[in-house]
Formats: sequence, structure tokens, C-alpha cells
Amino acid sequence: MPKKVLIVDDSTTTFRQLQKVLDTDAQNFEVVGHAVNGEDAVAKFQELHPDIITMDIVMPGLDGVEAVKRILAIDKSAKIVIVSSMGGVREKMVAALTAGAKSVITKPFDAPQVLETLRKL
Amino acid sequence: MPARFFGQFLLERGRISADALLAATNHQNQHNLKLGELAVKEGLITVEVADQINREQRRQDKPFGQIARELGKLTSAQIDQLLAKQKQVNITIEAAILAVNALSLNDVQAQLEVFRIEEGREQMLHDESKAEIQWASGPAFITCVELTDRLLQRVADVIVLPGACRSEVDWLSSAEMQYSVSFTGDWGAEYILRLSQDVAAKIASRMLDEDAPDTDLISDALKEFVNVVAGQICAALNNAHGLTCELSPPREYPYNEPVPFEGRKIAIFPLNSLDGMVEVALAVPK
Repeated sequence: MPKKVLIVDDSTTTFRQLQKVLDTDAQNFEVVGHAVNGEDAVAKFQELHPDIITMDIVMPGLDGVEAVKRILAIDKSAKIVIVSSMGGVREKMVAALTAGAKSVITKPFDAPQVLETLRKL
Repeated sequence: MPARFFGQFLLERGRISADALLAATNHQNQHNLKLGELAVKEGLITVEVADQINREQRRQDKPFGQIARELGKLTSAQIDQLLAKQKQVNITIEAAILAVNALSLNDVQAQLEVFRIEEGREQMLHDESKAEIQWASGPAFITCVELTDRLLQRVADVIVLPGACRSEVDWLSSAEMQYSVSFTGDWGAEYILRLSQDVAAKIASRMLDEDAPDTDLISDALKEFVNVVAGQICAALNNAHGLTCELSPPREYPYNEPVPFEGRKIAIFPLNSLDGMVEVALAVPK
């Protein structure tokens, strides 16, 4: 049974890019939703119960690192991977991992890297 | 390849766990001193002077040592001594990874070799752009142009050749499409990507893998493109120059209209391309 994936990113472009990548491995992943900011991510997490969440950092309203903290406060076993243009910034990466994210992928990403990271979760 | 530091390279390749990398960065943070901290520790300046230089650094695109020298707080010889001392006492992320036993020495050396080859290849592909306007020749400006050039090629197959820089004040002249991101923190600047509709459509088409994306999707893709470039700029400024910046969400300016930038001067770097007009504009306080 494929793992349910929630994509959190305010960009439709990134959502479509990630969806296309994950659709190439439909045996393992099924995209079940798209949230456009931190608050939306928390709401959709509670509604959709995804197995994996990909999370942007810079978004209008609640940012990705805060959203990671709030989701893990609800369910400490949630598996969240940061996918962000800020992933290469040392302090941001450390903040995301400290908050409980499982890994960090920097945009622009490569499809194999995304699939490999998510398969390991 | 995105701008990043060696620790993230290992994480992306699954060579190190998130917990082990965090332990290594914590170890490094506890051990290492910034140039200002070292200058205070060595008794060359007071904490108050270091704070003054740090405040000035937030306003300017310059390293701590350069500002200290310009303010007459440290001499060139003292700065050279401090830099040499910093190199001696500060530990690298590689050393921190070894210190917390996250990887063996052989593993670190092997991975470092691959990392340096990749980083070196990227550097060789791109010569530094030269700004003819002195205030726009700092490392942040050059980084912005280089990374835009690199990502245009990587993401959208748009090949550009940087041209001579020009400047404008208080107003930015019109361009068909203009997308921007603001930096706050150690570098207060606004990055604006100016381009023709044709180039915007090509970038969006490549990013979305669609032949003819509609206007809304082109706008979304270009905002994401400038967001990605800006994120890379933040990483590069942080890794190479120790500057820490935050990003605003991207925005789009009205079609083909001049934009007011009151109180700011703007450096415009043309990126000549066969696909159409592309320019990077960087607005900073006057």
C-alpha cells in the first residue's frame, strides 16, 4: 500500500513538481493533499493523516519550522522532510532538524534524491 | 548543484544521520569563535566596539574585518593576525563530525573529496561577474548574479552572458515582468529578476514541464524561481561570508511599469541571452 504524502508549499509549481516525481513511484507514494502555509499544514495533517509530509520553510503566515513543531506536538511519530530553497542555509537546516524534521532537501531538487530520501523514512 | 555546506552534502547522500549532524554542528558552535569574539578575547577591542562593528555590518555588504579597519578599530596587521588565529583555533564541520564520532576518518576524507570535486566543477563553470559600479561590487552582488546565471541554466536551459552593470536611483525603470524577494538581517537588499515575457514563459514551461502554462502558472513559477535563487544566495552568503539573512515571500510587480524605490539605489546587471531580456536588479539603501 502506498504511503500517503502531504505536500506543504505555497508554490503551485513546487507542488506540481513534487507530485510528478512521486507519481513516478505510485507503488510507494500517493499524494493526498496540498497545504499552502503552516496553519494549513497542521489542519490538513489532522484531516488527512498522511504518512509523510514534505514541508517548505518560507511561507506566508506560519513558517515551515514552526509547523514542524506543531505537527510533532500533535503526533510525535509524524515523518516530515523539509524541501526548501533555504535548506542549504546552515542555521535553517539545524533549526529544522532540531524541531524534529527527518531530513532536509534543498531546492532545486533532483527526482532521485527526493524518492531516495522519502523511501528511507 | 545547490549551494550548501559539507554537512548537508553528507545528509543529502544519507552518509550521516540528522542527529549525528546536529551533534556535530552543536560541537562546532560551542568551540568556534567569530572574528569579533576573537578580537575581544585577544583584548584588541571591547565588546561595545564589537557590537558597533556588528551593527554596521548589518547595514553594509562587507566582512567584519573590513568594517573594523575602515572605522579605525583594528589595523590590517591585527586583522591578518586574527584571521590566522581563527584558522588555527576554529574547527571545520569535518573535524566536528570526527569529534562526535559520526563518521570514520576514511569516510570523511572520501566524501570530502567528492564534495570538493563537485564544488570545484561548479566554480570552474562560472567566471566572476565584474561590476563596474564600485558600491555594487561586493560579494553579495556578485553572488546574486552568479547564482541567477547558474540557476537559469540549470532549471530552464537559459544561457546568459553577464554584461556591464548600470545604476538607477529612487525608481526602477519598467520591464515586462519583474519578480522580487527581499533579504533582511545581515544584508538588507531587494533582489528583482526582470525579464521579457518570452523568457518568463520558457522558465515556467521548463519548471512545470508543460508546453504552454497559463498566466497564473507563469507567475507562480517565476515567483518560485526567484525564491529558489534567493535561498541559494542566502546559503552562499552564509557559507562563504558568514552573513545571516531571512527571506520575504516572493512578489510580482505590475506588468511593464516602473517601480518606486524611494531612498534606494539600484544596481542592474544585464544577463544577455538569445531567449530575450533578462536582468538582475539589486536595490539597497542609498
